[in-house]
Amino acid sequence: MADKPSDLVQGTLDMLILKTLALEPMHGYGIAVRLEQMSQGVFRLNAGSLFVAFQRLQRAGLIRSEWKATENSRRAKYYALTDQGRKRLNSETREWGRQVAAIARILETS
Amino acid sequence: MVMSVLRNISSGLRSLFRKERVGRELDEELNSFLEMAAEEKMNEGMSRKDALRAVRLERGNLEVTKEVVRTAGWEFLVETLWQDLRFAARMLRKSPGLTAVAVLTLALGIGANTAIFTVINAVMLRALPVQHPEQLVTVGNPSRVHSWGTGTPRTDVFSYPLYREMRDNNEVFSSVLASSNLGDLRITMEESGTETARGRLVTENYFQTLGVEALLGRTFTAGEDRIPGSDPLIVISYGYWQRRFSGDSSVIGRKVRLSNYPFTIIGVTPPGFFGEVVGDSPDLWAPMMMQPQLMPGRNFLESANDAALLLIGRLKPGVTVAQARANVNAVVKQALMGSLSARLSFDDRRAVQNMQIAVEVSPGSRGLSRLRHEFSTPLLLLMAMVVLVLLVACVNVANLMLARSAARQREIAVRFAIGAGPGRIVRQLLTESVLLACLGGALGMVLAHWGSTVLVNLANTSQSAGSPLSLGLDGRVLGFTAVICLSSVLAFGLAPALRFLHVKPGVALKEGAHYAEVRRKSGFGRVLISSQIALGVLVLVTAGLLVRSLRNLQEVDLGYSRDQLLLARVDFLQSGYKGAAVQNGLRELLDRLATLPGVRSVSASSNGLFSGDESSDAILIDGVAPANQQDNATADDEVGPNYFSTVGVPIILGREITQQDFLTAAHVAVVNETFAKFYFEERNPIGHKISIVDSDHPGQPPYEIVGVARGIHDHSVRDAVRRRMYAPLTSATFDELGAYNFEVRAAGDPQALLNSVRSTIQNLNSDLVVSDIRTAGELVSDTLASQALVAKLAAFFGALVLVLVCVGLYGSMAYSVAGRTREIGVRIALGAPREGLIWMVTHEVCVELAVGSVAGIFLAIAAARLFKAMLFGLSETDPLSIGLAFLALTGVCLAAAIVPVRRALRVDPIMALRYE
Repeated sequence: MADKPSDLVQGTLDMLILKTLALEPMHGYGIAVRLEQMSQGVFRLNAGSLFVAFQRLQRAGLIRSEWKATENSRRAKYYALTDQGRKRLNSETREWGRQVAAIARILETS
Repeated sequence: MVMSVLRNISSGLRSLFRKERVGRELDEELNSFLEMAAEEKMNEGMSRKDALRAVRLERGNLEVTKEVVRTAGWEFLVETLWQDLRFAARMLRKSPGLTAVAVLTLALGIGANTAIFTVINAVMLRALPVQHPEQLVTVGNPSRVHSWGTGTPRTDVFSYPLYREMRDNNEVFSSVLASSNLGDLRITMEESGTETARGRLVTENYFQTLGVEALLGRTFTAGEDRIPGSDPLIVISYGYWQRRFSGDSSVIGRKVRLSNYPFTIIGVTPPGFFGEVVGDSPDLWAPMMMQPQLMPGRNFLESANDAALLLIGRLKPGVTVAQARANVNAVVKQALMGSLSARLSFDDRRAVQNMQIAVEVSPGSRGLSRLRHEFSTPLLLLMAMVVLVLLVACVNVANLMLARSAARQREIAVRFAIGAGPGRIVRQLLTESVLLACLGGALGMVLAHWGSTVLVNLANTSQSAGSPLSLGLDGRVLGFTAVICLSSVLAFGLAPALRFLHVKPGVALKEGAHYAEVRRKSGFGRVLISSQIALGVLVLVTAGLLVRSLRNLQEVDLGYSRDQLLLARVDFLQSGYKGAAVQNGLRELLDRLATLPGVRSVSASSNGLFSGDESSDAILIDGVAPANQQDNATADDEVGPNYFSTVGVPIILGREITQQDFLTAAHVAVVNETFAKFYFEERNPIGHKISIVDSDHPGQPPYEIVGVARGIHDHSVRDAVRRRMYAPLTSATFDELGAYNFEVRAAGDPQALLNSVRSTIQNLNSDLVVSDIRTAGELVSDTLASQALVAKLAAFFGALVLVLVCVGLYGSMAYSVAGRTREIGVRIALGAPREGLIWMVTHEVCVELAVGSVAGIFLAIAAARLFKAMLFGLSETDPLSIGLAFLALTGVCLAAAIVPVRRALRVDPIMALRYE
């Protein structure tokens, strides 16, 4: 049986959303699906945490939103990365890499 | 960073104020989310219904999601706070009686605190309304704002030549001003006769040093004030301008006569400016160089021996107060030993050399003040008392809240049961407390505004118009009130609220009865009442000690009878008299006053009684070798004929100074008992000769002692009697006194003589300057002003505390009786005796009274040590004060108990058992 969906490591959801939006603006559902695809089903996102994160990121000025029509001509709110968001993504990615490497070193030595 | 905070705020505000639109948008977004997710599932072949359910399972309920998103931002907190506030207002409206009592109680407590603090702020804390007050320093003793000192040069107040040295030679001030009291001046305007105005004599750089610009016209400029008598200009205060000239702007350039010399009004100061002396708002300011014209017959500008100036300097950038102090002392020393030395007499020069020169230089942002010196201790004592009053008020409200929270047990339990967390409940209850405190605080501010004005009027003994003190509201007072309100919330609101942290909803709901908790009054409630009684005893004992001290002070035996004695000060020099005319005027006035109907006898003296004038001299007595130099000095006074019999001072030995002595300017002296004991011990002083040491007037014949008078309290009720010699007014020919204090002994009511004495003086010469005519009793009372103020207010706060304790006790007993109605009914039904019922209702109060009183008495005795200096004629364990306090509280407890006890006795057992 496949692994059960895991909870996200605390505080990483924001970074993942930013990463998802780095390519192109997306709507909420698109972001959720893309995250699940990219994690190959490891993460399953609850709508509540997702939308709270959108609100938080938008208020922090890292993303902005806009109502647009989808390819299926449905109206949806599209989120896009701001310049500030792009900067934040870069710095967080770097920081994450440093931390993961450090944790890995600790785990290997023991 | 700032940007994102701003974005957060604006987005939050949008959610708050466009709630519906933001909600609709979220709805729409979530719906499209749901539809997209469902569509995908349907594409995989699910029915729409199944797809929707699957999405809900995977992604969570969208209604819950909406709630989660809605409550994530800060605006949600504001929203719930607003809800809490509205709910709290509803709860308070539901029990209007309780709310009214609580709000009124808090308003009294907070109002009293704010009122006293407003005055403390105005007198002790607030900076002068001038530019950069923190750069100012005072030079000299800042409380001696009304002093004129003559004799050896001094450094607590400065002479003009000493000021000039300071101004020209200091290295620390960018500018330094000097000012001096002019007192009540005679001001004459063309259209309306003569009236008085309060004036202050200032150097020309006064306004420039303080950084105060004229509202209208101009202030003094440099150059004016260089040549004595050349610039007869005055600047008037905003208050005087409004009061006297109705704010007429044509007042600039107006000519008025001050002390009969023509002056021109050149400017009006801005409304907030009351001068540099806190508590002394002058009507007008005149240039220093006009001093000889304003005070005819006395030219102090060139005398190093007449000191009346206080200095305020503005520090140069970077100079500290310590540096200023060092420099000021160096300059003063240099001046007194060097440049001014030539002007001093031989004795003065020697005295200055021996003098420890330590000029007081202190931070001057708060200006000068005599009030600050006199009222600091009383105000702080009152502040402590009102804090206690507020504590008692808080305990009252806490008790009310406790009682009510017990009654709300069930409501709270229901709210627990439907999912409110304990934090949420405590927050709700605290919100109610905050609302109560805010209402109390708002009403308290209104009370305080009125109360502080009353307080200042009580303390103000001068009869001139206009408030001497500006009591504005400022940030400090508002902040203080806010802090007081919030602390009282913590004091009365927290404990009742926290009780609910441990409520178990199941148990509380099962209890059913409304008064489940009350059967056994909580230990905490009893501690509250005991401590309230203890605080009450503390306040009442303090009030008792202060009131009784005041009585003792008022009834001190002065050594003469203060009843039927009228005192008046007449200044002949100021009125333009010169040379022999002064003494002729004095004699003439004595004769005329003596013939007035209702006057038993009249005399005059240079220092008078409780006049504030005092003088002393260095003496040598034949046959007495002084142990040291200090022993050479004695207080003295020059008196008119029959001074002792007029004032009523018994002559113990020899005779008094007679009309004969007065007319012949005989060199005779009467000394007081203290003097005789000090120099002669048991020997007879009569016949010994006293020489006054004065190198400026050498060769004065000595004074022969002809009598010994009883020691009297002539200038202070509290202080011990000083040794003093009295000589005839006419004998000291070199002392051009010019101003005399008249003592008039009336046959009946002295008040009745007031007008005839005044008109007699005016009939002699309508230009004569008479400063207030008062009865001796009034003057003595004036010297006790701060003591009287504290005693009156302490008594008032004592009464307030009694009322509060009574209300609190009544509330808690009535509540407990109501809660025990069923129990009482059962007892009555079983045939309990009336006494048993009474004891059942009251025994708790008895214990609380006993415990509280004992604690309160110990506290009061400990506290009284702190203000021992204000007590007089009793010790801090004064049994009468303690006994009265205890009796008063016992009485209040009884009064509070009557209604609840009667209610308990009237319980109808059948009704009571059916109850509920």
